[in-house]
Amino acid sequence: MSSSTPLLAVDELSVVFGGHGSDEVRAVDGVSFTLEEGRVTGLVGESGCGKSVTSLALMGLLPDRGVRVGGSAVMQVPGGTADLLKLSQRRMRDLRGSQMAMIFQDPLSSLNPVVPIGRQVTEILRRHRGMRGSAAAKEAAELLDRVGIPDPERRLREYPHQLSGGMRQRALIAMAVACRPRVMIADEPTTALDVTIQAQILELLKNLVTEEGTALLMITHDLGVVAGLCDDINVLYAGRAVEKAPRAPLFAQPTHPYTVGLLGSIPRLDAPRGEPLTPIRGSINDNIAWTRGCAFAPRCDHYTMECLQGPPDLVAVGAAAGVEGGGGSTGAAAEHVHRCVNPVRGADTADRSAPESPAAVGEDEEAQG
Amino acid sequence: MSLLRINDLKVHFPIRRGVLFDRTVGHVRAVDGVSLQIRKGQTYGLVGESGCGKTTLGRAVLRLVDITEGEVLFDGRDLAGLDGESMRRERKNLQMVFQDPLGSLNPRQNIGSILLEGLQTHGIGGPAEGEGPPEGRKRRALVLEDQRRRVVEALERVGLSAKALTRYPHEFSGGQRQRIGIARALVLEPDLIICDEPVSALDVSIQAQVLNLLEKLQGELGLTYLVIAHDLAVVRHVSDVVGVMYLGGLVEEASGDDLYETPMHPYTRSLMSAVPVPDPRVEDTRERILLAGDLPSPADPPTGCRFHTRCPWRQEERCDTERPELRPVGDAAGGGTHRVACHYAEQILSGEIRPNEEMAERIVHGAG
Amino acid sequence: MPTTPSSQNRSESREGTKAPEPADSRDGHTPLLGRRAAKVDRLAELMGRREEGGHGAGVWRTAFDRMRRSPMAITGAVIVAVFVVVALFSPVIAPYEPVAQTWGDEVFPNRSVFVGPRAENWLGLDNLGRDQFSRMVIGARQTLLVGVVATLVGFGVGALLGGAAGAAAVLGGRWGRQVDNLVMRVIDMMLALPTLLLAVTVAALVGPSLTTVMIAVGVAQVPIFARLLRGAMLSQGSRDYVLAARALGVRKHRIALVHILPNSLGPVIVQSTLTLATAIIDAAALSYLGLGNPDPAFPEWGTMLADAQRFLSSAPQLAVYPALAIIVTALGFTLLGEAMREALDPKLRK
Repeated sequence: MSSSTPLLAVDELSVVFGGHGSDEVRAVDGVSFTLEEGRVTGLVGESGCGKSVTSLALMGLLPDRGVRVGGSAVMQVPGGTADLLKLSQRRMRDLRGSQMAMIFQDPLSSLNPVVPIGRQVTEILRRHRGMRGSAAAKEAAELLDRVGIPDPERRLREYPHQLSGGMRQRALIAMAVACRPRVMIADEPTTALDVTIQAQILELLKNLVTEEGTALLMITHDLGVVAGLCDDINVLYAGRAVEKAPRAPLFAQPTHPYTVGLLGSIPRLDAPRGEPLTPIRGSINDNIAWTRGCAFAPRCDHYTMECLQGPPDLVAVGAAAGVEGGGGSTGAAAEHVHRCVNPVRGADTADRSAPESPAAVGEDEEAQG
Repeated sequence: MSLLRINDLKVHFPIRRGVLFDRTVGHVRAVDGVSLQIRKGQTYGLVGESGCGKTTLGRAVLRLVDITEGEVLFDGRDLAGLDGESMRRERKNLQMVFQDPLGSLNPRQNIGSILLEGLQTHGIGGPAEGEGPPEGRKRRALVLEDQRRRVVEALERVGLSAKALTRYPHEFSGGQRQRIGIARALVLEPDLIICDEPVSALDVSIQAQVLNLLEKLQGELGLTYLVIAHDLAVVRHVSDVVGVMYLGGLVEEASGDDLYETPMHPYTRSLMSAVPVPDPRVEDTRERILLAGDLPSPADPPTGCRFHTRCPWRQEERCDTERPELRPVGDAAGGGTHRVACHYAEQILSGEIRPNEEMAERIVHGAG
Repeated sequence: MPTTPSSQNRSESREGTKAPEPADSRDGHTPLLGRRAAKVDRLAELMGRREEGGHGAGVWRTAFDRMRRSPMAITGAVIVAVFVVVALFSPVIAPYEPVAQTWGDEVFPNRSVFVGPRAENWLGLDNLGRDQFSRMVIGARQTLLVGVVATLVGFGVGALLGGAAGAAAVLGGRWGRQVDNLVMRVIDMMLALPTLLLAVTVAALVGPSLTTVMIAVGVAQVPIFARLLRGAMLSQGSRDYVLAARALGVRKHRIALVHILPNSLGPVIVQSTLTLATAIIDAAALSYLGLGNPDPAFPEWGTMLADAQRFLSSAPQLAVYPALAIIVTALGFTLLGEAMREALDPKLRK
């Protein structure tokens, strides 16, 4: 899996908003992951975990002022490597579209409402592939056809508002793949869509990855989507990765209490009826600074004094100090890492149905305002 | 005994056009002939994709939109026939929880006044008629005190404290706002609460808190819910009976378990196969029915079965000409609660009718 | 502790390495409880900093806090405050009678002899030998009066019409929409007339006087306020909290007055500060055109400007003072209004 050099290696990415003193907000705080050809890497987390900011930083789409970006994101480009975070605006513009592309959550606002779909697609072909006239038009029609838009010639003449939500997202994907980018970033691409349409789009993305060998960075809050699509998964909380693993071990043996909590919070279609949900208490506002301890501790049922004694490190599962053994995680240890000093073991996952004080759920949350 | 019974409900919105004079050029058939009933203490889950009319149905029950045709029998009374003032009084028995927790709270009212409003509107609270001091300041003070007590009680039920009373909606987190929205409904002690997408605007970890809260309240207060949502997993989790809507009509109705084990309507089957399950083993192996195309316009719905334009099991006969009735199927003796609106439901279930591979964009079998 | 034994064992053995107590104190209740309390305390300490600010802060209050930090708002507020204070206390501030031609023998407009600023007359003398500073100060009062009354007229009538139309459109059903339609067509007609033309017409009909100017300028503002309030009410009327109030069974007039109206007033109040600026300019323009107060005892900036133009080549300062006063005052109100609009706009909030 990781034998070849990764297409994009993000190392210790951090994004700080605000700038001076106590006002600054560390939206992303030392996130590392790699994208490889033909694989899907997932960033999962709730609102405010920094997943969208990560994608904007990689695409160079963050505002210039009031933002500090740190770390590196080294990408294989034709003729060497380039650090996306240090490239000039012009080089980034060339890379966007030709080498990397992005798909946004809201397709309507990412398309120009007064320009027909066809012109928007051919514009990209002209800019990045130098195609013109009928050749570009033909290629555009083929692209739409490939993403599953029926009757592409007619659709090319239509405006974004004439298409349905699913069609718009397909058109956006067609534009993203127009230049056969090697890296694609999808930020909540199906959140605004209905489930049956979501299934269509996910299938399309899956095919693009397997057939074209594109590396896909999938950003979502939906663990169900992740389970079906992603190969490697990073669970983010308050700007840091709290657990990362290939998907099988992550879903089979989640170790970070946050991941466990997320999985326990989702009603599963295939679960027997009446099985209670085990929510995470409090809200995302109940956190402490990572520098002082585990940001998740205020919502965690397992936190100990040690969780509050400074920032926990990202360590391999099973390699943590203390009791060894249990969960059968030794084999995948190198790939399965978490940021937790008191992780959940297999046994805990099964009967985690009694959190410390279920009645206090609202009260805890309420106290913070 | 059903608390709510809807008979052939239709809500059509006129499409108006014209410069000086509005001419009605057509109708959006948001809800087009839905019949269902909800028993006391039960949760009825209504699921469907955007544009299927589920939200309009919920609002029509409360008469927040005009009903074109049909009956809404609540506790035996037909709400559709009530005049404005009687309906207004009736609303204390039916309450609603909204999707957008912030948008549904007046930003300029503090929580106390938001929660008191319903009580004051309906004159609830205070000593019973004929008891206590008759009129005047003393009685008003008693009434206010009692209303305050009720408000605090409702707040505590949803897991907030009386400290919240003087604060404003924007000072709370999403989950807390939704709790306030639930408290606002609770304080009137309604019989039926209509929850319109109660959790879809919330973060995953908060969704479970709110769902558990709704369940807890039902247990404590014997509430009846009509839960409207697009997420089948959520609906199945909370509901006793699930109704699936497509383009203004109910296509299938069954108990949650029945629906999951033997979905009979092609639309239900494809919907179910599209809901992602947070388990890679399930995701890799299950069959997926990908529907072709999009939802047709409710202003111009297809003839016959509304789903026939996208149905992988579509037959040459009847599907495009005759609109299927919602009919009981399967084991009628064992309750007979499974209803489906498909001419060929039994044949599809038995495998007699095979899906047409061209119609389904692709039926993906798990790679295994 | 209702956590599972395995996790507890681990957590304790690890805590044991940090804490002085022996690691196997699981059976002893006191140290266990003590440690638990310690960890809860530590958590509270780390989270504690955000506990303050729990009091109820309304929209206006937060808007005010934001405005206090905006240089634009402060500049505007200072200008407006100085203007209002000068206008209110003008008889006290003005050193001389505005009509007294005390220095009449020093000024000869025919021969282009004017008197500029000097120790006793800070801004010099006007063409009739009156103290320019006193006239400016008294003029401020007239200007404020015209601005405020005209805005009140515009606000009052406009809000009434717009509010009625908005409420009817949102809550009145089919009949309401027709009432709304009727009112708005009338408003559209008013809007189609140029402000100044409308004002001139009113002034011409009633005759030149201060009241005329106030009414004329006020009437010209009516359609702006009406449209603004109606638009705001329509957009608020489709919000979920209005639906929620209806679902609660709240009466329609109460929904309109308690829910829709207060949430729609923000833009209208902002507009009234902006209108004050326009009203001052309009009033000056009307006075300039000779439709203002003809009484010399009540100098008005516009009238002064009109009088000064005859001597523009020989004594430009006579025109500059009132012109500058009008510009700065109008700027003050505009700055304040814009700052308020920004502070109240939820989209611009952090």
